[in-house]
Amino acid sequence: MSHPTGGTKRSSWLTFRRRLLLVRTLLRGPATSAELVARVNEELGEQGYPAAVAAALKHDFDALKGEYGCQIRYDRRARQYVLDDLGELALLDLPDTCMEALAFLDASFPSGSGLPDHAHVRALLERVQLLLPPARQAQLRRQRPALRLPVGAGARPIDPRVLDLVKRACEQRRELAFDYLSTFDHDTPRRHRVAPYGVVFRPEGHGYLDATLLEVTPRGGETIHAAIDYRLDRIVPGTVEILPDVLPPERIPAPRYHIRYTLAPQIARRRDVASYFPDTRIAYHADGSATVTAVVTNLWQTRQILLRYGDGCVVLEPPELIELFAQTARGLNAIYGVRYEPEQRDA
Amino acid sequence: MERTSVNDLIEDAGQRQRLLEGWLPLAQVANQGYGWGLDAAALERLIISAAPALGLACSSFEAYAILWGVYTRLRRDDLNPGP
Repeated sequence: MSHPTGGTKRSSWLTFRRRLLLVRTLLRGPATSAELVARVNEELGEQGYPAAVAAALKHDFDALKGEYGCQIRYDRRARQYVLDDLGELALLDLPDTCMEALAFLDASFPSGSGLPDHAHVRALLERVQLLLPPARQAQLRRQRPALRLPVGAGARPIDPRVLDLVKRACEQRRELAFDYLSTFDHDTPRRHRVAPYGVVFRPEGHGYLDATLLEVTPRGGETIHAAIDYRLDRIVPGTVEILPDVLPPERIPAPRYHIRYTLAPQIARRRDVASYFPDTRIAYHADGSATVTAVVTNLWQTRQILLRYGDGCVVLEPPELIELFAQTARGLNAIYGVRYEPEQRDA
Repeated sequence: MERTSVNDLIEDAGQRQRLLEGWLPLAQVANQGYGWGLDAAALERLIISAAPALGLACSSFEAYAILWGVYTRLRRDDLNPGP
């Protein structure tokens, strides 16, 4: 049985497949004309582009624009084609629940956060959004999810080689040496030799090496054998060295401090006080206040955490932590005290 | 070379203290953000359970994801205790 239109149908189908392949290739990312032709020919073989490839490619781009409303532009500087909008070929649609999830991820990974770990998530989201029809894209832009992931978008990136060496030293339980620019160093890093024990991340996104200090050159205010949290982004890349010395079986004990502080009723009355420190015990009182006890080794970090309560927190123990708060209070008074007094008089 | 696992390390009281002290602020933010409602002891248990995986985290995002996964597993185990 003969099909008089079979050749035309096959030809139309091949043309359609070729154009879809162009779009699929551009969905992966911008591409040169040579890359596009190679991709199509790889897939369709002899049925790919004819010899007059430039004219055929232009014809396909015109058709994608005219028939499907695709927006494909030529980036002259990079000499690449870029797919900006899929038009009628935006074939992905999602249930409302998935749209909510997409909005949640979109809010949690904002563009321009600068963290390399998030860059790929952002690229994925933008690709998925590109596949949505225009009305659904507009809906996504309007959605404002109540919840978002706390991903620490303000943190500076950690050099991957630094992180790799630090983790290897922890795993192999070997001493580590590196140049480090601490808060107290103006512009010249100092050499630290430490016993490394692990990497931790804090809510603001910074990563820290938990280590015991063995030696620092030149000496500063640090206490030898103190447990120190080294910010990983302040370790100078290219200076990290895993040393042959193996760590002793047990860690040199860091000084432990029993802390005790009270929280005012406006903070504690809902009886949902957070546990930020090991061995936290909370006693709620009839007036709505609470007394919290815990055990810590890092008083500087403890102060940073408790400062979030402002003047709703009173530290009772130990004296070293009280002194740290007194220093902060003196510093704040030096900044704000002068401004505060005239306002008081005006009032 | 002899290696010591995270589980061995947290037998060391000093190391356990530092492990908890390092991870509690992030775990507490997850606890509040995700509405788990865990108390101090349960948070410490979560961190100890998650410690081997947390040691592999390369960002706070990964650490949140690990805590989420371990929390989900612990909750499922609590709801469906084994024989």
